[in-house]
Amino acid sequence: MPIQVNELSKHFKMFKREAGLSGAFHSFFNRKYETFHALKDISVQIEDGEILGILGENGAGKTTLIKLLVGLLHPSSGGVNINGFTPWNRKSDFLKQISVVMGQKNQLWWDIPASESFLLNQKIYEIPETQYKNTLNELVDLLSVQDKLNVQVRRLSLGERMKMEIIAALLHRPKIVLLDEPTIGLDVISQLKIREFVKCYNEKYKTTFLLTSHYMHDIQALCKRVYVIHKGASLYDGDFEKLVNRINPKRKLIFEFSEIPDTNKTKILSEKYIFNLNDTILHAELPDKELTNLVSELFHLGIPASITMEDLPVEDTMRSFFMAPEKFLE
Amino acid sequence: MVDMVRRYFSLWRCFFNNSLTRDLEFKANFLGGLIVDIIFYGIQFFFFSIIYSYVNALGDFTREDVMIFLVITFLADTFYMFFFSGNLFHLNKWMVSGDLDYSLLRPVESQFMVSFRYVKSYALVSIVILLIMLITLIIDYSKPIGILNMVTFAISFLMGTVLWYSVDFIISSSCFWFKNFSVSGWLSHEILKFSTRPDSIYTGILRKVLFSIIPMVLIASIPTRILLYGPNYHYLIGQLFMALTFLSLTRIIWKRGLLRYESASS
Repeated sequence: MPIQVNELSKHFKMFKREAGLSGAFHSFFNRKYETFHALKDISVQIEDGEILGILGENGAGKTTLIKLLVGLLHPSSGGVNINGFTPWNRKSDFLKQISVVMGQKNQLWWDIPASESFLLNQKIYEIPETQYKNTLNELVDLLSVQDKLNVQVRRLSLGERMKMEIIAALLHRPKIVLLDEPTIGLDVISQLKIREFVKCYNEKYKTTFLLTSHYMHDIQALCKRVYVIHKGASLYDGDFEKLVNRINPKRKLIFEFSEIPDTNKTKILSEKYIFNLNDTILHAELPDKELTNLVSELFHLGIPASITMEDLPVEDTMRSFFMAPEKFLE
Repeated sequence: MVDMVRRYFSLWRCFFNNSLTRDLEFKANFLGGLIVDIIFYGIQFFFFSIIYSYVNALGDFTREDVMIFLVITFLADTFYMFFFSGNLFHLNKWMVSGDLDYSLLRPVESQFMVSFRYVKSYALVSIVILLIMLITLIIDYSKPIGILNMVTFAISFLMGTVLWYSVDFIISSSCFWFKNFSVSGWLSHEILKFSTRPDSIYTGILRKVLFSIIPMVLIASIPTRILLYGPNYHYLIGQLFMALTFLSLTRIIWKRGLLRYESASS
């Protein structure tokens, strides 16, 4: 078990003041503090080579959890054990095993080519020359950035920059990689390429990935298991598909008849199922079993020209989940 | 130990290469920085030489002593600029923005990372110019200055730089406690001005403070005395003691500060 998190809590002391100038003056002389519980009793185990998605709305505590796991923050209580290390002791051997990519922060120098920052990382992580060259060549090939290595980072597109950030993070072959919103702001193609890369890299090297993302397609494509945090507390730990089905078990059907079906028969059917029929096209959103029954009955109404069944957009499903998560998990 | 020193020196060389590559990227910026330095030191030198031309001595420093002292203060300033100013001056900003995160995640001593990561490479040219000026003044000095004086001066100067770094580091690290202490850089800057005047002008409690709690006179005045009047082991031992004490303080404060680090939100 590479990562074990036990009853981890983190709270911050924050000063509170009323709005306006008088509030500012008042708080200058008489500062009032309140405790903000960013994480409350989080416990989770993560297996070797797993890709775990960490989900939660803004401010839920995802980034705080990641920062505790890499040792940037010290917890208020609880413990973390990563391959026998306590992260916040920041032992050199521990730091060589992990890596973090933060979608909204850069580790690369802005004004010089990424290749210069890679060389620096080689020195920092004491990567032997041959290993460095092989790893760099492989990552550059996988991410298709051969021609961008010697371009100043500031001249790269956001997608290219993120690829370079990922290369910088993986040069030392970390065992655990924490990706904090790695696809934020990227176009659909760049998002897809990064997803494909993470999947392929994880399969090849069995590297453990922890991923936070607000793009549910990232999670859907990469994470079998998700850990949901809500207001700093653990809300769900398990299979992502099961969670989605629990939130919205419906699927979408588009059934196109070859000719307009009998009105009386469709009227009878509408008493059993909810659907919309416009001339020859029928739309329905129903749970899986009901949908199968409906399809078999539709065959009796007429010959289909086409049938499409699809899952409802996972983004919409998760949006409704985050608006009232407790409702779905009771 | 030797391996560690070798590793950190090799890392610093890499930092320097990175910084030089970046600085050379912007020709105007590189030359501009150099020109700003030259103008700054030129004006300071001219200004003080005018002031001191009206007096024959300042405390126990003669006019030619003062000239050497001035070049040593500039040299100390440039040394500091070269190694540390690109780092410590920004520590508060990095802390508030969360940019400190990546420095703390490296398998390298984090104090080393935040102290040496960015080198102001153009200051190297100023260092060379000031060294030439200092050598010229030493050669032209009315009395011969021996090798022993120069060697002990180098040691004393090094300890002065350690003290300068330590005082600035302690002030800059206070942002761990104050959350946002953006004036820390300027506060250090103003305190460090005490080092740019000969120690003999300070009297009473202020003198005691500047030799102990805020040991600014140990940065340039004492090295100047050692260079001009020969090694004074009383001063050297005192300087060594203060340098070690302050350096240890930076370690303690940094480690305690890290416990309080909150890192900015994403």
